[in-house]
Amino acid sequence: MIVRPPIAILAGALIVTAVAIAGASSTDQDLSAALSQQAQQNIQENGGGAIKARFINRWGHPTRHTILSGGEGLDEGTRDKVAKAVAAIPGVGGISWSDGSMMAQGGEVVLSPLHCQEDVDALLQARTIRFEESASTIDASSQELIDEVAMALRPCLGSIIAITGHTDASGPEPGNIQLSRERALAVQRALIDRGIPIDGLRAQGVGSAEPVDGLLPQDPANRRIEFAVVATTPLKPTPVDTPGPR
Amino acid sequence: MPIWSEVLVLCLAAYAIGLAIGWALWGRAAPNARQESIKE
Repeated sequence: MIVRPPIAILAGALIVTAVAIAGASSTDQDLSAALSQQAQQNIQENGGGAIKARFINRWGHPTRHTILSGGEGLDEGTRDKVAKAVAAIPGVGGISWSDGSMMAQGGEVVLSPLHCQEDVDALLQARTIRFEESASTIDASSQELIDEVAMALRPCLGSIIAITGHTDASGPEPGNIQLSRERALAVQRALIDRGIPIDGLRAQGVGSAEPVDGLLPQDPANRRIEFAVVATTPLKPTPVDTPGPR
Repeated sequence: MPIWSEVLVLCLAAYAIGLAIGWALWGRAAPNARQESIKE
Protein backbone atom coordinates (compact mmCIF):
# COMPACT_ATOMS: atom_id res chain seq x y z
CA MET A 1 0.00 0.00 0.00
CA ILE A 2 1.40 3.36 -1.04
CA VAL A 3 0.65 6.20 1.42
CA ARG A 4 0.96 9.71 0.03
CA PRO A 5 3.58 11.74 2.00
CA PRO A 6 1.27 14.58 3.14
CA ILE A 7 -1.17 12.10 4.64
CA ALA A 8 1.66 10.22 6.34
CA ILE A 9 3.05 13.46 7.78
CA LEU A 10 -0.38 14.51 9.02
CA ALA A 11 -1.01 11.10 10.55
CA GLY A 12 2.36 11.28 12.28
CA ALA A 13 1.50 14.72 13.67
CA LEU A 14 -1.80 13.43 15.01
CA ILE A 15 -0.09 10.50 16.68
CA VAL A 16 2.51 12.82 18.22
CA THR A 17 -0.29 15.09 19.46
CA ALA A 18 -2.16 12.21 21.03
CA VAL A 19 0.95 10.82 22.70
CA ALA A 20 1.97 14.28 23.98
CA ILE A 21 -1.43 15.04 25.49
CA ALA A 22 -1.75 11.59 27.03
CA GLY A 23 1.77 11.73 28.43
CA ALA A 24 1.36 15.24 29.79
CA SER A 25 -2.03 14.49 31.35
CA SER A 26 -0.65 11.56 33.27
CA THR A 27 2.25 13.52 34.76
CA ASP A 28 1.30 17.21 34.95
CA GLN A 29 -0.65 16.86 38.21
CA ASP A 30 2.36 15.34 39.93
CA LEU A 31 4.71 18.02 38.56
CA SER A 32 2.34 20.77 39.62
CA ALA A 33 1.99 19.31 43.13
CA ALA A 34 5.75 18.94 43.51
CA LEU A 35 6.35 22.53 42.39
CA SER A 36 3.62 23.77 44.69
CA GLN A 37 5.09 21.96 47.68
CA GLN A 38 8.57 23.29 46.98
CA ALA A 39 7.18 26.80 46.46
CA GLN A 40 5.34 26.79 49.80
CA GLN A 41 8.53 25.68 51.50
CA ASN A 42 10.51 28.52 49.89
CA ILE A 43 7.77 31.03 50.79
CA GLN A 44 7.89 30.00 54.45
CA GLU A 45 11.68 30.20 54.49
CA ASN A 46 11.57 33.77 53.16
CA GLY A 47 8.99 35.06 55.64
CA GLY A 48 6.02 35.23 53.27
CA GLY A 49 3.72 33.13 55.44
CA ALA A 50 0.44 34.48 54.06
CA ILE A 51 1.46 34.10 50.41
CA LYS A 52 0.06 31.17 48.44
CA ALA A 53 1.52 29.84 45.19
CA ARG A 54 -1.00 28.37 42.76
CA PHE A 55 0.27 26.17 39.95
CA ILE A 56 -3.19 25.88 38.38
CA ASN A 57 -4.17 28.39 35.71
CA ARG A 58 -7.54 30.11 35.44
CA TRP A 59 -9.00 27.24 33.37
CA GLY A 60 -7.98 24.67 35.96
CA HIS A 61 -5.02 23.20 34.06
CA PRO A 62 -1.73 22.50 35.85
CA THR A 63 0.94 24.98 34.82
CA ARG A 64 4.56 25.86 35.57
CA HIS A 65 3.69 29.58 35.59
CA THR A 66 2.63 30.24 39.15
CA ILE A 67 0.25 32.88 40.44
CA LEU A 68 1.17 34.26 43.86
CA SER A 69 -1.66 35.56 46.02
CA GLY A 70 -2.08 36.95 49.54
CA GLY A 71 0.50 38.80 51.57
CA GLU A 72 -0.82 42.23 50.55
CA GLY A 73 0.24 43.58 53.95
CA LEU A 74 3.84 42.52 53.50
CA ASP A 75 6.43 45.05 52.44
CA GLU A 76 7.66 45.11 48.85
CA GLY A 77 11.09 43.80 49.83
CA THR A 78 9.65 40.61 51.35
CA ARG A 79 7.29 40.09 48.40
CA ASP A 80 10.19 40.56 46.00
CA LYS A 81 12.31 38.08 47.96
CA VAL A 82 9.51 35.51 48.01
CA ALA A 83 8.86 35.90 44.27
CA LYS A 84 12.55 35.43 43.49
CA ALA A 85 12.75 32.37 45.75
CA VAL A 86 9.78 30.77 43.99
CA ALA A 87 11.15 31.68 40.56
CA ALA A 88 14.46 30.03 41.46
CA ILE A 89 12.80 26.59 41.85
CA PRO A 90 13.89 24.40 38.92
CA GLY A 91 10.90 23.89 36.63
CA VAL A 92 9.03 27.08 37.51
CA GLY A 93 8.27 28.93 34.30
CA GLY A 94 7.22 32.35 35.52
CA ILE A 95 5.78 34.38 38.39
CA SER A 96 2.85 36.74 38.54
CA TRP A 97 0.88 38.26 41.40
CA SER A 98 -2.87 37.86 41.57
CA ASP A 99 -3.25 41.48 42.70
CA GLY A 100 -1.61 42.52 39.46
CA SER A 101 0.98 44.78 41.05
CA MET A 102 3.25 44.28 38.05
CA MET A 103 0.53 44.86 35.47
CA ALA A 104 0.06 48.15 33.70
CA GLN A 105 -2.90 50.16 34.94
CA GLY A 106 -5.70 50.52 32.47
CA GLY A 107 -8.07 53.40 32.02
CA GLU A 108 -7.33 57.02 31.51
CA VAL A 109 -3.72 58.02 31.20
CA VAL A 110 -2.72 60.45 33.93
CA LEU A 111 -0.46 63.12 32.51
CA SER A 112 2.16 64.44 34.86
CA PRO A 113 2.71 68.20 34.81
CA LEU A 114 5.73 69.59 33.03
CA HIS A 115 8.76 70.15 35.14
CA CYS A 116 9.72 73.62 33.92
CA GLN A 117 8.82 75.18 37.27
CA GLU A 118 11.19 72.84 39.08
CA ASP A 119 13.86 73.37 36.42
CA VAL A 120 13.70 77.15 36.76
CA ASP A 121 13.68 76.94 40.56
CA ALA A 122 16.75 74.72 40.42
CA LEU A 123 18.52 77.22 38.14
CA LEU A 124 17.74 80.15 40.41
CA GLN A 125 18.50 78.32 43.63
CA ALA A 126 22.24 78.73 43.31
CA ARG A 127 22.40 81.82 41.09
CA THR A 128 20.43 85.05 40.79
CA ILE A 129 19.67 87.37 37.96
CA ARG A 130 21.73 90.47 38.75
CA PHE A 131 21.00 94.05 37.77
CA GLU A 132 23.07 97.16 37.65
CA GLU A 133 22.91 99.31 40.79
CA SER A 134 19.50 101.00 41.20
CA ALA A 135 18.67 100.27 37.57
CA SER A 136 16.66 97.75 35.59
CA THR A 137 19.49 96.83 33.21
CA ILE A 138 20.34 93.15 33.46
CA ASP A 139 23.98 92.64 34.35
CA ALA A 140 26.06 91.15 31.53
CA SER A 141 27.08 88.27 33.79
CA SER A 142 23.43 87.19 34.09
CA GLN A 143 22.77 86.88 30.35
CA GLU A 144 23.84 83.25 30.36
CA LEU A 145 21.46 82.53 33.24
CA ILE A 146 18.62 84.17 31.30
CA ASP A 147 19.51 81.88 28.36
CA GLU A 148 19.20 78.85 30.65
CA VAL A 149 15.91 80.08 32.14
CA ALA A 150 14.48 80.60 28.64
CA MET A 151 15.57 77.08 27.72
CA ALA A 152 13.96 75.68 30.88
CA LEU A 153 10.68 77.53 30.22
CA ARG A 154 10.46 76.35 26.61
CA PRO A 155 8.60 73.09 27.46
CA CYS A 156 5.90 75.18 29.16
CA LEU A 157 5.04 77.33 26.17
CA GLY A 158 1.28 77.73 26.29
CA SER A 159 1.38 78.23 30.05
CA ILE A 160 1.09 81.55 31.86
CA ILE A 161 4.49 82.36 33.34
CA ALA A 162 4.52 85.01 36.06
CA ILE A 163 7.73 87.00 36.49
CA THR A 164 7.84 88.73 39.83
CA GLY A 165 10.47 91.29 40.80
CA HIS A 166 11.46 91.78 44.44
CA THR A 167 13.70 94.32 46.16
CA ASP A 168 15.02 94.74 49.68
CA ALA A 169 13.56 97.35 52.01
CA SER A 170 16.39 99.86 51.71
CA GLY A 171 14.71 102.91 50.26
CA PRO A 172 11.19 104.25 49.86
CA GLU A 173 8.64 101.55 49.01
CA PRO A 174 7.04 103.32 45.99
CA GLY A 175 10.48 103.48 44.39
CA ASN A 176 11.10 99.81 45.26
CA ILE A 177 7.84 98.73 43.62
CA GLN A 178 8.66 100.74 40.51
CA LEU A 179 12.19 99.32 40.36
CA SER A 180 11.07 95.75 40.92
CA ARG A 181 8.44 96.10 38.21
CA GLU A 182 10.96 97.55 35.74
CA ARG A 183 13.35 94.71 36.49
CA ALA A 184 10.60 92.12 35.94
CA LEU A 185 9.77 93.84 32.64
CA ALA A 186 13.46 93.75 31.69
CA VAL A 187 13.53 90.00 32.27
CA GLN A 188 10.29 89.64 30.29
CA ARG A 189 11.87 91.52 27.36
CA ALA A 190 14.98 89.34 27.60
CA LEU A 191 12.84 86.21 27.44
CA ILE A 192 10.88 87.56 24.47
CA ASP A 193 14.22 88.21 22.73
CA ARG A 194 15.00 84.52 23.31
CA GLY A 195 11.83 83.32 21.64
CA ILE A 196 9.37 83.04 24.54
CA PRO A 197 6.00 84.41 23.32
CA ILE A 198 4.80 87.57 25.06
CA ASP A 199 1.27 86.13 25.36
CA GLY A 200 2.25 83.81 28.19
CA LEU A 201 4.45 86.21 30.17
CA ARG A 202 3.14 88.35 33.03
CA ALA A 203 5.56 90.76 34.73
CA GLN A 204 4.88 92.36 38.10
CA GLY A 205 6.85 94.06 40.84
CA VAL A 206 6.04 93.77 44.54
CA GLY A 207 8.87 95.84 45.97
CA SER A 208 10.00 94.63 49.38
CA ALA A 209 6.59 93.27 50.43
CA GLU A 210 7.57 89.60 50.09
CA PRO A 211 11.01 89.02 51.56
CA VAL A 212 12.61 85.59 51.44
CA ASP A 213 11.56 83.40 54.38
CA GLY A 214 14.07 83.77 57.19
CA LEU A 215 15.64 86.99 55.89
CA LEU A 216 15.20 90.52 57.20
CA PRO A 217 13.45 92.86 54.74
CA GLN A 218 16.62 94.98 54.54
CA ASP A 219 18.78 92.02 53.48
CA PRO A 220 20.14 92.57 49.94
CA ALA A 221 19.51 88.87 49.23
CA ASN A 222 15.84 89.82 48.88
CA ARG A 223 16.62 91.42 45.51
CA ARG A 224 15.52 88.71 43.15
CA ILE A 225 13.33 87.66 40.25
CA GLU A 226 10.92 84.76 40.72
CA PHE A 227 9.23 82.72 38.04
CA ALA A 228 5.96 80.87 38.54
CA VAL A 229 4.14 78.75 36.01
CA VAL A 230 0.69 79.77 37.21
CA ALA A 231 -1.64 78.22 34.66
CA THR A 232 -1.67 75.89 31.78
CA THR A 233 -3.95 76.76 28.93
CA PRO A 234 -4.79 73.97 26.51
CA LEU A 235 -3.64 74.54 22.97
CA LYS A 236 -6.54 75.28 20.69
CA PRO A 237 -6.25 74.38 17.03
CA THR A 238 -6.51 77.26 14.62
CA PRO A 239 -9.57 77.25 12.35
CA VAL A 240 -7.37 76.15 9.45
CA ASP A 241 -6.27 73.08 11.43
CA THR A 242 -9.76 72.18 12.62
CA PRO A 243 -11.26 69.47 10.43
CA GLY A 244 -14.73 70.29 9.21
CA PRO A 245 -17.69 67.91 9.00
CA ARG A 246 -17.82 65.58 6.00
CA MET B 1 0.47 28.10 29.53
CA PRO B 2 -0.71 24.68 30.74
CA ILE B 3 1.85 21.92 31.01
CA TRP B 4 0.05 19.77 28.43
CA SER B 5 0.30 22.50 25.81
CA GLU B 6 3.99 23.03 26.54
CA VAL B 7 4.58 19.28 26.08
CA LEU B 8 2.50 19.29 22.90
CA VAL B 9 4.42 22.21 21.39
CA LEU B 10 7.76 20.57 22.23
CA CYS B 11 6.70 17.20 20.77
CA LEU B 12 5.40 18.78 17.56
CA ALA B 13 8.58 20.81 17.26
CA ALA B 14 10.66 17.67 17.70
CA TYR B 15 8.51 15.90 15.09
CA ALA B 16 8.99 18.78 12.63
CA ILE B 17 12.75 18.81 13.23
CA GLY B 18 12.81 15.03 12.66
CA LEU B 19 10.95 15.45 9.40
CA ALA B 20 13.33 18.19 8.28
CA ILE B 21 16.41 16.09 9.10
CA GLY B 22 14.92 13.08 7.36
CA TRP B 23 14.07 15.09 4.27
CA ALA B 24 17.58 16.64 4.22
CA LEU B 25 19.28 13.25 4.45
CA TRP B 26 17.08 11.03 2.26
CA GLY B 27 14.27 13.00 0.70
CA ARG B 28 15.99 15.49 -1.57
CA ALA B 29 16.83 12.96 -4.35
CA ALA B 30 14.09 12.46 -6.95
CA PRO B 31 12.10 9.17 -6.69
CA ASN B 32 13.63 7.86 -9.95
CA ALA B 33 17.13 8.45 -8.67
CA ARG B 34 16.28 6.67 -5.48
CA GLN B 35 14.91 3.67 -7.39
CA GLU B 36 18.07 3.58 -9.51
CA SER B 37 20.22 3.51 -6.41
CA ILE B 38 18.10 0.70 -4.97
CA LYS B 39 18.51 -1.39 -8.18
CA GLU B 40 22.26 -0.95 -8.08
